[in-house]
Amino acid sequence: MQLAEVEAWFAARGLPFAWRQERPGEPAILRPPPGTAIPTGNVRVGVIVPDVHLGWGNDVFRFNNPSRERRLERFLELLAELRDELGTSAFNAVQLGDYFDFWRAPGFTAVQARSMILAQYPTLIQLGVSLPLRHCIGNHDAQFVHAANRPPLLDAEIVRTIGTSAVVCFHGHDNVTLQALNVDALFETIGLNLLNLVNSAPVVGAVTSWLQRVGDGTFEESWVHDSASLPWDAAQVQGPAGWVAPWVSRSSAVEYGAALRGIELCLRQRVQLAFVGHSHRPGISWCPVASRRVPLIDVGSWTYGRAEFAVVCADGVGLARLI
Amino acid sequence: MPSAKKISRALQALALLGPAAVGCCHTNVSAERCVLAGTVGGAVPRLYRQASWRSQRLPAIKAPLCTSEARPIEDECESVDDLSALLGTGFACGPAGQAIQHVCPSFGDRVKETQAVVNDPPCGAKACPNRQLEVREESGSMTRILFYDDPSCHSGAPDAKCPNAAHACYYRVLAISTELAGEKT
Repeated sequence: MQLAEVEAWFAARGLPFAWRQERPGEPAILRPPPGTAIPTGNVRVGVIVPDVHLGWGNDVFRFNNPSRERRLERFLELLAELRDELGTSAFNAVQLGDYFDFWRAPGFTAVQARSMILAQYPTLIQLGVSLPLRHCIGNHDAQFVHAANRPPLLDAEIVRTIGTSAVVCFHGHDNVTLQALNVDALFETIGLNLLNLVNSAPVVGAVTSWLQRVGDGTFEESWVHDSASLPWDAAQVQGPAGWVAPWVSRSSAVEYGAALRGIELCLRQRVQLAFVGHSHRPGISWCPVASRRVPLIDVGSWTYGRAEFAVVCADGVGLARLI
Repeated sequence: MPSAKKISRALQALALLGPAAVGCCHTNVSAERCVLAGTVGGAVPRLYRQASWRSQRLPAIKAPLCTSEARPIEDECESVDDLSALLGTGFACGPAGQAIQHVCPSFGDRVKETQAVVNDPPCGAKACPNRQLEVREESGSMTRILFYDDPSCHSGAPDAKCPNAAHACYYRVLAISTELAGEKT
């Protein structure tokens, strides 16, 4: 399948998406060098879901809409249909970490917090497990490092690949070593849980949630309903030779190059494409890995009403959002 | 009339929403180290950087690297050479221009450059002179690291916006020695 065919496939099933417009007339689509394909092996369609932040109450995923999960459930149902149509080995779905938000679920232990999140989103989580959605570990769900803290059958790792080891995914909070995933965030956890409690209160919660969205700093016009995610600055230095994209300068791109080099030496294979989340700001960037330039794609998030994801096919990578 | 950006910032401050911003965390720093490792059958030690030191399973380097012929992935030219990696001074070229790429933790004033004890460059007369660092531990122990220039990794600036990412010389670890300080027995 080609990117355009995936777009038409979703539209035909009543869940249309649009490619992100990085700049006017420039869709956020990455094309490989002429005569080459994205190296995903037998995988014909890969879908990458970024940060979701499932928490408790009126969390940043629900964001003032208690039925928000229905849209993601529908998305996962359609992915299962696409998987069946393509065949299991030709389809791959990765989630980039921060699927659960342990910082917004008031449990005294990780297992208690997990139980609260499972109780709030049972159908959604089951759909992800059965797809399967293959998760990375983020800073808000770093507890998944320990298998005992994961929901049954939920598959989480530090780094995932799509089709081949040349295409890798990781969350992006540890851009130094990819080993230091344990997060020392007691104060942030207390603060965000208190904020989440206020956000979950009747009436006032809707207002504070909206204020939180305005203050989040990841929207182009945060006070406008359904505003697009804040774009990164345009790249000052062009991306890898032959690849075409509306390149942006994602923060920490140089540091990510060092982390990706670590993955390469671990896998003993050159990485040609990398996906990260964490920032909640989508864009197609690149990073220096040894003496090469490697495309680095930030996929965005499903926070504050956004529904962003990436589609990977042989002919390119597109950043999309549900309409 | 205040700009939309100012209004947004004011709302952010009023709402005391600092903790709500993404990326507000401190990762465990225990993994921040670099390792100098020799291997059985290897003539030259290897510098394992922060992102790879836990998997010290790379093949031995059997001789100083001077040519780019048939070079395996682990011996590619890095963005930042070994010497700059340990000094924390190496620039890499990214989408926003050049920036220092931190591939090893900072050693502060415990590291200093000294006169190289071996002067002959292994890669011949066209190579840059050998260089040497000493890293002192609080215990008094001291590690001496000798570097040689690999001319096959010499390169110009990858972009006009990245002048400091050029490699007029490219230093790799050639030898290490450690003086172990102890107490009188």
